[in-house]
Amino acid sequence: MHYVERLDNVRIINSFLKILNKDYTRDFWSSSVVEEIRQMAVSGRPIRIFRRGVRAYRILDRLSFGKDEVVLHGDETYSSDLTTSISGIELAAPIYIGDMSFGSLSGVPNVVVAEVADELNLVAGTGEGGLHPDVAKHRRIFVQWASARFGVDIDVLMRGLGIVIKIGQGAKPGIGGHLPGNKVTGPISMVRRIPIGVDALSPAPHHDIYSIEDLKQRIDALKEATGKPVLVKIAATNYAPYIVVGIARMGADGVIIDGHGAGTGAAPQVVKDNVGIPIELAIASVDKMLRREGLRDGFTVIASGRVSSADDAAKIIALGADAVALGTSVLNSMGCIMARTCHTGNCPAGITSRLADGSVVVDHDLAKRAVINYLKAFQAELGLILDNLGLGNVRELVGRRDLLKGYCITSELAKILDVAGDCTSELPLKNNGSVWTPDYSIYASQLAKKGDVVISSMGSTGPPEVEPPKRLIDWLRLDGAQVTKPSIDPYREDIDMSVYLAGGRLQMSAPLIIRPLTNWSPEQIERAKFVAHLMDIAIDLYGFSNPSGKHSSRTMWDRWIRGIGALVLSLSDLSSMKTIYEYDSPIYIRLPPLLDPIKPIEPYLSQISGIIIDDALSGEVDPEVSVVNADLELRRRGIRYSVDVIIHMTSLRSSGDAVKLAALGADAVEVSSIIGKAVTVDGFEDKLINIINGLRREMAQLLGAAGVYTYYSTIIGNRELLRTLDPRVKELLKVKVAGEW
Amino acid sequence: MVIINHYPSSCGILGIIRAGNAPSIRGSDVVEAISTVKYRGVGLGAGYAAVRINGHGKYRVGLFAVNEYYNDVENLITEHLGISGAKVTNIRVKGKVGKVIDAEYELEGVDGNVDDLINIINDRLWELGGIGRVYYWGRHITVFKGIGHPDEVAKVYGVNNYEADAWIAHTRFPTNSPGHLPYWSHPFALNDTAIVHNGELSSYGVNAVHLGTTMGVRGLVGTDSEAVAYIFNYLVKVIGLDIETAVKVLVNPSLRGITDPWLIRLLNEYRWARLDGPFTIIMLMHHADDVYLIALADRFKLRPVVVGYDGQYYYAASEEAEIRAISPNARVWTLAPGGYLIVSLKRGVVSWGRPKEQLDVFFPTRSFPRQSDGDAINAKGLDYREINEEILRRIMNGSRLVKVINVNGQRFIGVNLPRYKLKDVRVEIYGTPGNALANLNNGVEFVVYGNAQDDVADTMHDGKVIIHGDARDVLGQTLQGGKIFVRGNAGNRVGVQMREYSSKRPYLIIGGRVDDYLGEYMAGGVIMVLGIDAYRAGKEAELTGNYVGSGMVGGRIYVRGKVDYSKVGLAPSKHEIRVLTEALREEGYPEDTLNEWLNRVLQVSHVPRPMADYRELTEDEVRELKPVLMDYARELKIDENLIDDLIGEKYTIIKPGIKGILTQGYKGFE
Repeated sequence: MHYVERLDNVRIINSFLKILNKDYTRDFWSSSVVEEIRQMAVSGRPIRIFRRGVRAYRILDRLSFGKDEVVLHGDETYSSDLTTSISGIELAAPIYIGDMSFGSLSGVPNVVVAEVADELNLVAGTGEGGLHPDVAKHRRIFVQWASARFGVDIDVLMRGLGIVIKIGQGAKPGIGGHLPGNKVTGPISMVRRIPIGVDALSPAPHHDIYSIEDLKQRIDALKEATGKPVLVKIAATNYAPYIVVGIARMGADGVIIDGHGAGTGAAPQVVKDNVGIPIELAIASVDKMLRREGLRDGFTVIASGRVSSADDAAKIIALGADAVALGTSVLNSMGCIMARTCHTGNCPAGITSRLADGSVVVDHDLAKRAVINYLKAFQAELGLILDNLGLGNVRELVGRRDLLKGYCITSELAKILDVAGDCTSELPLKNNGSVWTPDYSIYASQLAKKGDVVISSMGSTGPPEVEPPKRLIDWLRLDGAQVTKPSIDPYREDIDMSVYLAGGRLQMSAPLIIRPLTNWSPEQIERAKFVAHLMDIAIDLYGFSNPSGKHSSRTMWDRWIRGIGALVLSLSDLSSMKTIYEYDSPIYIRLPPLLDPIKPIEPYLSQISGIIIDDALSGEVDPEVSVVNADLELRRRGIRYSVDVIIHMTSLRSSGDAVKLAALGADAVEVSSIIGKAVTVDGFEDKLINIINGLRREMAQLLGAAGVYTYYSTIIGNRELLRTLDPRVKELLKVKVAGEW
Repeated sequence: MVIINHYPSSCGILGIIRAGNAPSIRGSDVVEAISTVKYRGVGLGAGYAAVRINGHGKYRVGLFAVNEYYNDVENLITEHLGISGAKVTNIRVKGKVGKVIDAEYELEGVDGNVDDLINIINDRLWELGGIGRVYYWGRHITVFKGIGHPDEVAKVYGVNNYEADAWIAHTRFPTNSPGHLPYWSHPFALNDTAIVHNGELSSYGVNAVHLGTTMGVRGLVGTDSEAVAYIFNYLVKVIGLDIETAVKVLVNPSLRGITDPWLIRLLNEYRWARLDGPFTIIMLMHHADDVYLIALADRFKLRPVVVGYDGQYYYAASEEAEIRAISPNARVWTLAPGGYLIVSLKRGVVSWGRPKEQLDVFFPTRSFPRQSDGDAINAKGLDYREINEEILRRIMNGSRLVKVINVNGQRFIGVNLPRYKLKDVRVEIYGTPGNALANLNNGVEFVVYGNAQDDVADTMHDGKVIIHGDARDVLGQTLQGGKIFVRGNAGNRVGVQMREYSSKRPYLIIGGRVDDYLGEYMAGGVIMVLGIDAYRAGKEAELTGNYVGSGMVGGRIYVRGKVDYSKVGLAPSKHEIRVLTEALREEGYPEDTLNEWLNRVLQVSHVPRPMADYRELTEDEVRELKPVLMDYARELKIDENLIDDLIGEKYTIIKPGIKGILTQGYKGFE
């Protein structure tokens, strides 16, 4: 507030703005959810309990306590006891107000959160931005020690009740914090000690924590220095249960696990949507494994990520958490309308605004009253849920998976959650609709404009939980490296994206091949060939006319000319050919997605360099299935490393899709639609260069997030780095279910 | 094997081989050394592997079997061996630990390679519920491993009295308890090869699927070491690659920097054998009538490893303290990122782990002043808490100078002090302090008469750290004030995230050289790398590794001598530049547009590449830096005239790049 007072022309927001109209397939925090939170923020009264889950694809919505919804009058009281202990610190309720930094929030909200924690006897995390002086006056805070240690010294560490070593967060597992340069204004620069106007990109890993024994070293060092409890915050990823057991064994006092879909002030969109698993799948496994190892007692488990109501909280506690962290819901209570412009600093509600002259900032008293009301109403709902379940205190609910019922929770999911339930009608794996949702259309045009990683704010709206899944690939998530191995910083360290197709004859700096669209003019094709050559990738002109002989070394074509990068033949071309020996260039065979793509080309295996699976040709299976089967069959025959597998998936819309296809088994991907979506005739060459650059950089981000620094030898066919959210996909793609161990 | 299992764990490792005519190495020394880093394990697994060049005469197989199924296991093995014409001639029970019997079988009639046979046996045993496991085989190797701390396992198997020509050892910290089964303890061995590994492979999914699906090795227990053991054994003993070539494949150098077509082909052909993620691996192998000790470090240098030699034995260890425990005066050096040590019993050193010239100039045998003063704190046998409490007690009682002697590996020294806001206090450390020295320091002066290890002075805001020897990786992370002076070298990521604010500006001065990522994400402060020993010897030497100043947003780096611009920040590879040039030529663009196009295509918008300048220091710079360098000379007892000479030299000055301003370096088509 102190900083706000020093700024000129600040406009204070002292009333709520109109909520944007979004349904739950467009935003997890749909207008009805935000509306309800706002109602609680105004009235301070509980609204209802045992809400019926509406999102078919969100696993937590498919769990319930088997009770009908109860609409409350609002004046009900509860008799159950909500007191909880976090690492020896007593809280009035199992609520931790999540880490949102000074910098990502506009100062007033940071102060409000600390004040509320004191008044309601809860605890708030400070986030990564150091300690705002007004926040430092309050006691009930946990100070964050993150990879950049912004604004941290011994004094700051001694202030709070405890320290949180932040390894990861649900919105961007494997990536460090990100405060865009335009939000690094004077006040922020002073607290964080970094230059004004420059992006504050925290390193992906802690550079002193590259293994689990390194984490122990850091925990011990912080305890030696301060004597305070130390917790560790991680994102929910593939190996969450092992990582948490490791964290407990290393002597941490607790863990904060942040699930997929959690909020953020700024994160790469492809990381948000494609990395990490939902909190519900992580928590159950974590609780079970900790108990099995005899490490659960005295170790606090705090769960976060999309906790939108007391019902969500109760279910997550029943699955195995001691407490929940609230982030986005608290922001909604103080007026956030989910405009999702946080990363630009232009927040209409004044909550995540950049702190400079002329900023918009939310009114302190409005925000504080709202948050207190909301949390009181939230606690009332939680208390009433416990009363209704016949439980005397919230600690009795922890790990009570036996109280939960499931709808459409079967096979591996049932094993992971210890809750089972049949489906009356099967949830479709694929729904109709264009992959070019508003979010992805914006993504594509941003990529073409900037040529670099596309950043967006707040939690993921990706499939399957929010956007209905349309492809098998929508059910897959990549791993984020945390604790047991480090993630690699793609901005500053050398991640090798190069590939050596055709036994090294077709060497590329990135595993991308341009596939033109049918409506391109010869001039556009010529530009695209130049761009492919310039950027050290390739272009596949099968079925197109090739206007000139320029850049042949990078061109793949259905007609052979001297110096051509590769000759591409279809199955029917093959049958009318006597021998394919005479060509001096690498040869690829173009196939539709077949269940066994190797069988039809068996006679030619020793003569070809690889196959191109193209779903523009009608096939028998999903392209993802064909890729996996091609990879496995070639490995069984011991020839995987002499036959390339290239995939053209017409629905490919991001670098996330590209990396997933590689992990499924593809050496390289052809990109067409995303270029078509974002690259107009105007500024064609520039935009094409940007798209390729952007895709390549984002792919490096995803690799780094998974702890991989070499694309070609490590990612391809590494299905161990993937998880699926549906057991049916496990069978099809040989990928484990998220939370399985 | 399509869906695989993977179990993370952590550890401390060690390897020793004797040189020339040195006497055999006794197990007790190995136990003592690995026990120095007991805290890297948790008593849930430890082990040793020992190789004798003259072997045991007989072919031997080591076996774990669950007590109640022992007969089934024995029958299964004799049956399968019988099919290949081999038979068991003797069975010796090495130990009984809980429910597991550890037995050694002697075999006769073994002809050539039994790997496949043993894989089939192990696969069957695993399918039957893990009722047993063959955990080593060969004529020259013996493995001792189990559940417990290193000294406990040693006692069970009589390791202390065992002698061999080369050893490796391991102490394990698994995330999950293995219960009573020793299957996941390390080392992993097969066919006269044994491996210990610190780290976690992100490539495991590819490595294991290849072993399972293509090579038919099933029933893997799910650890990285096991996979690496199989891969290395296959490359050397089945395919026939020579050891150094096989190691090159495993260590997975960045292909962006390689132009040798043979190496490129090799790395692509054995893609499945390339490792990714953090790893320090130590291997022992008996091959072609020779014994090898091999140590390798991943190219990002994400795990620690120190190498040593004392005239009789070569050592490789997770931490220097392990070596000093049994060889206090050994010459030590570190592996370069992506480097490897290969020592052959018969031929000596095949590969040093860094270029020999670098070793000769920068890593000589060092000796440090010893302190026998009766008033010092004797750290021998004390843990870090005891040392720190005593240091604090003396300071609170009025001491302004505290000495600590016989330090060997204790970590966190001085980390209890910052909250007391001490000034005018000096702590002298004699020996080899462990990791995380002086973290959060805000005013104390620390002097190390010896080598320091990783993570020195993390988040230091004031005070001094003076090191007479070397420091290792991640020195001065988020250093924000005060001075760090190192007489010798430092490792990877030195000065990462250094900052300055208000009146505080930190200075980090290195007398020797550094490895990769110097000053990564620097936002303020000054780093200087002087290469004093190279200067004195009149030798031109590279004082840094690659990626200098990557992601810098502030501050300055001064490196004496010329640093090639290709080593600054993240540079495009030669290949990328060549292809880009080709494309421009074919399209008809003039030569002088190359730089513009390079920036267009390869410049990053979030993080610009740093700029570099090669010149003499300006007057302002001399005014700023000379007093700091004079202080450096005084603290490290260096002739002040040398400083005057050094100040007159030319330096490569690296500063943050600016968005939109073209980076220099490329004049025309080459």
